[in-house]
Amino acid sequence: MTAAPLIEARALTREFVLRRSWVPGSGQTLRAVDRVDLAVHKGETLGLVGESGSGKSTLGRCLTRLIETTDGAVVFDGQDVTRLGTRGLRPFRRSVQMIFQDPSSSLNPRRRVGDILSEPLAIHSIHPAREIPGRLRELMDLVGLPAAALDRFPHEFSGGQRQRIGIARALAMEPRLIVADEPVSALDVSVQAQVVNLFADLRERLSLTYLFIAHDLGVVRQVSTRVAIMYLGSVMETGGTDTIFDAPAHPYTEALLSAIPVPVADPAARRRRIILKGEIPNAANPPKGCKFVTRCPYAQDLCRAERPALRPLADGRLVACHFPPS
Amino acid sequence: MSLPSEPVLAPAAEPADAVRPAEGRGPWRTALRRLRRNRSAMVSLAVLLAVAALTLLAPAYAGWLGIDPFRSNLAGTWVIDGQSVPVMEPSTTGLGLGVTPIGPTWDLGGYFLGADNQGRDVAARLLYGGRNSLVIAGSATVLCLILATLVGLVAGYMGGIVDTVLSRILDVLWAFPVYLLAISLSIVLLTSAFTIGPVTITAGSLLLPIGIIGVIYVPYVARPIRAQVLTLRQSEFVLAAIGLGLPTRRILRKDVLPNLLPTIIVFVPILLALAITTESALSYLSIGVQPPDASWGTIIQDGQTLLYSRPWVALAPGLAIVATVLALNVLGDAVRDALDARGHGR
Amino acid sequence: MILPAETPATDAGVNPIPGTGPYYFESYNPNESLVMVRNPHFKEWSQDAQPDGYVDRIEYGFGLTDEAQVTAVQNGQADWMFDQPPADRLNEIGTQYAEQVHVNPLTAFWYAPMNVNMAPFDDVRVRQALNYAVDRNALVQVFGGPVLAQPVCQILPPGFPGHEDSCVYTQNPGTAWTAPDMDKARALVEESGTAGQDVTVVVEDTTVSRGVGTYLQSVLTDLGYNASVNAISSNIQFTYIQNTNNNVQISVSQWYQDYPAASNFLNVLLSCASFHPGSDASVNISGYCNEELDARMQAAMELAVTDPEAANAEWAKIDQAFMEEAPVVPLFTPKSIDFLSTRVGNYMFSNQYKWVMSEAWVQ
Repeated sequence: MTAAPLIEARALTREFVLRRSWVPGSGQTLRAVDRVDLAVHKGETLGLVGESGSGKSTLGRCLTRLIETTDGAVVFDGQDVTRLGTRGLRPFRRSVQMIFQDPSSSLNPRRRVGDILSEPLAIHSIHPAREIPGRLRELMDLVGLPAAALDRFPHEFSGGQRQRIGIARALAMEPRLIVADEPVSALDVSVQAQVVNLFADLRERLSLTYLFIAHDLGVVRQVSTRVAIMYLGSVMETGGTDTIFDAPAHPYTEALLSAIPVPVADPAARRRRIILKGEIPNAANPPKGCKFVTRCPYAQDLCRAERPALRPLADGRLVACHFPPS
Repeated sequence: MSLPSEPVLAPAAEPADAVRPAEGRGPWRTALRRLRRNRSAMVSLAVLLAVAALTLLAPAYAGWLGIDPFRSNLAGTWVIDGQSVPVMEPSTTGLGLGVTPIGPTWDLGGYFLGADNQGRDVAARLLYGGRNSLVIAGSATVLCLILATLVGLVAGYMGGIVDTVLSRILDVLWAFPVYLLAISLSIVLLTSAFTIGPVTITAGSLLLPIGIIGVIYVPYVARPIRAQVLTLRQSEFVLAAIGLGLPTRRILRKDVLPNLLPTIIVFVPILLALAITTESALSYLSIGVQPPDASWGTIIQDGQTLLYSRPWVALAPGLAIVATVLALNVLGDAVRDALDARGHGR
Repeated sequence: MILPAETPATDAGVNPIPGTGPYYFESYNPNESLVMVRNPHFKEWSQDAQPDGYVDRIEYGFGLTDEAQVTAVQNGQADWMFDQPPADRLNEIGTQYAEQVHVNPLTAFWYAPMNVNMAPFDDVRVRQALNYAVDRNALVQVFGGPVLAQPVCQILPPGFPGHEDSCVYTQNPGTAWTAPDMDKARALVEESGTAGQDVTVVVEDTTVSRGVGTYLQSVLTDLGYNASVNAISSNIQFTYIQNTNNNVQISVSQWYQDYPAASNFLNVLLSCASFHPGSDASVNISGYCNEELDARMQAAMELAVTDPEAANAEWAKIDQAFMEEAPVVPLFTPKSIDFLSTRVGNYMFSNQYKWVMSEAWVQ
């Protein structure tokens, strides 16, 4: 991976103020994203995994510039887009699109599907007006919906179909990067499969780059080429999907993977279940050393004292741990 | 966990969730249907339309009667059952004290509800008064909604210092008891005409009660609107619109405002009812509509001194107000139910 | 009332002058009550001039509306009401409570003073026009009917010394008022060229005053003015309309005799000496000052000492002379209604003092 990444987070930080205080220093701030370095390369699908509260959605929104960053930089295609205003972001917005988790709230209930999809095309003058209907039918085709859907309102569709519309909207401007924020979490399991397949299919047909944010490891494994694991606002481990899934290096990854349910009948798939002891620390007041130290079964004194940086291992992955398996 | 690996791109015909066979029925049409099915709402609507129609006919009725309901008719006479009687009948019993205006004739040809203490036809004045009351209430409602939407939109969408300043101003305004504020403003503004630029507002102008009522209820409406704008601002489809690079004005117009409209629409009957009662109260206190103009409130004041002898003079406008406000409240409830997007399905 | 000899013969304003009598003021709270209690030091020295009273304590209560006062007397919670009963109760008390009601003529009148120093009433034609246009019978209705009021077109009330029946501002000028003359009124208004001007009638917020005001507004509108009514609390209206700072164009007021002489009406109400611009005590509300008529009034007052009959004849002429200039619109002369509770006895009425309260007794 020597080519420059398509999009990069450099020491990206996002804080939320929980409590203001007139007395300096006694207010409470939550670091949802804590000096994260992350790169997404062209053509890959990076799966971003973590529990709720890990900061993965916030990171996704920072990367798409839907929320402001407190510190650090977002670099897209070599250009620092962190502090750009609305006008400066216009070309960026054409290239980077987001798909949201809740298909019922991400579509304006009072507008027809055709209106929702054609608006970005009209605003950005991507196609001349007479070509827009054709482009809309193309989009419907791409996501597997009939052209008649264009005249309907979002509430007339099922959850899975609405998510397809959301995907169509993201695709309308032919972006180079799609950030999908838990796109299948709100769907029924049977429908999830279809949408996941759609993602895979589109990636092949359109050569898209994805940042796929999810908490379901099974889905992530299916879709991603690379994986990044987040915990309490920091990246714990990144690497190739198979590399990580077959042999996790970080204790947290290990615990996560062990929790994946396995069929009882398959003895080969049985694994040692690691149950984490200890408390999840208060996100507003994380531990001084490694963030995982309160629950890590291998914790040592160094772990409590010093926070480990993301360091490369021999097989190319990055791990933030003082004592990874060598 | 293993999932089927070959892509199954099913076409849209999933049996469990087929596209519903509708003709693209939007949320507005659905709401209208729900409203039409609500019987008490339709009855209320009919009542309101009847009231509006009757009051609009006021000049026609007065013309047909051949009288001027704003002119004192103390020395006049009227024909009842072929006999000419004075409009103000002196007492003939006991000591012969007192003068009573003629009572309701229940004859649409004149003095249907009787005469007031200036000998004027109460029924005709009731219609004219209704016209003034409804015009003032309607205009005040429109004014209030426009101002409140502007304030709510700006405060909610822009946030920050703008929101803080606007919200504090609204809080201060709302801290005054509504009637006290209205009374103070009326007394100050009603004493003499004043000029704003090229516009002169005379002391008796209807614009004064319209303006006062319209302004004092702005906080009542602006705060819920601001709250909803705040919610909409965070909603994912607005975020998506921002993500798509759409300009702010467009987002406000096409994404925020249409979803704000249900809230605004629900306020229409509520505000109308509030405005009618407020205007009646102010006019009753002689600081709303000024004579010679009439409104339901002024007619109640006229009838106050006739309560013992000719109660209809005060009862009729009172009943008119009750009927109108009741109809508006029922309609308001029904509209709110119909627009409730947390749909109880279809 | 008997006063100390050194009391100055000028308006004392709001400073009380010491006096003597069968009662003294025990307490006064303008929001609540005024209490008079028997004066233990009083000795009756002449029953005709200053009789002793029967009751030990007289208490005025303030704050009830006129409707409430009627009900209070009907229920026996009060013995008498100061205000006139409102129009819609008159029939009731005149039929069901007739024995408790006493109607007496008053040497008084209701009138509308016009500010001769303010448009449009600075034009004598406008003042005369209004006098022609007002239907005094209609106003009689407002007050409670012909039993309780009679139209007047002069300043001195009927039966008063110096009064001679004469009425100019009516359809057939002669000795009595018959009907309004709208044609003449409109002609005068047109001549004056003042049509379209704004006129505000200032009245008290009582039923009768407001009714009179609304009627006057209707008449003024008929004459072509842009008329409105302004009702002010009766606690302050009387001083309000006297003070020229308030720029009152026309108002509605009453005058009752203070003493039985023509000068009490004509001289007090219309002499130059009664006009104090900028003061709350300027009972020449019209602000009308005519030196010649002033001189004639002085002469009449001096003549009255020696030859009262000749003086009264002169007063009658002065009355008519004032009415030619029409500084006011005389409206009607009221009768007084005393509505008493059943326990009050020995009702006596005097033109000067109306119900002689101190001569009543209660059972």
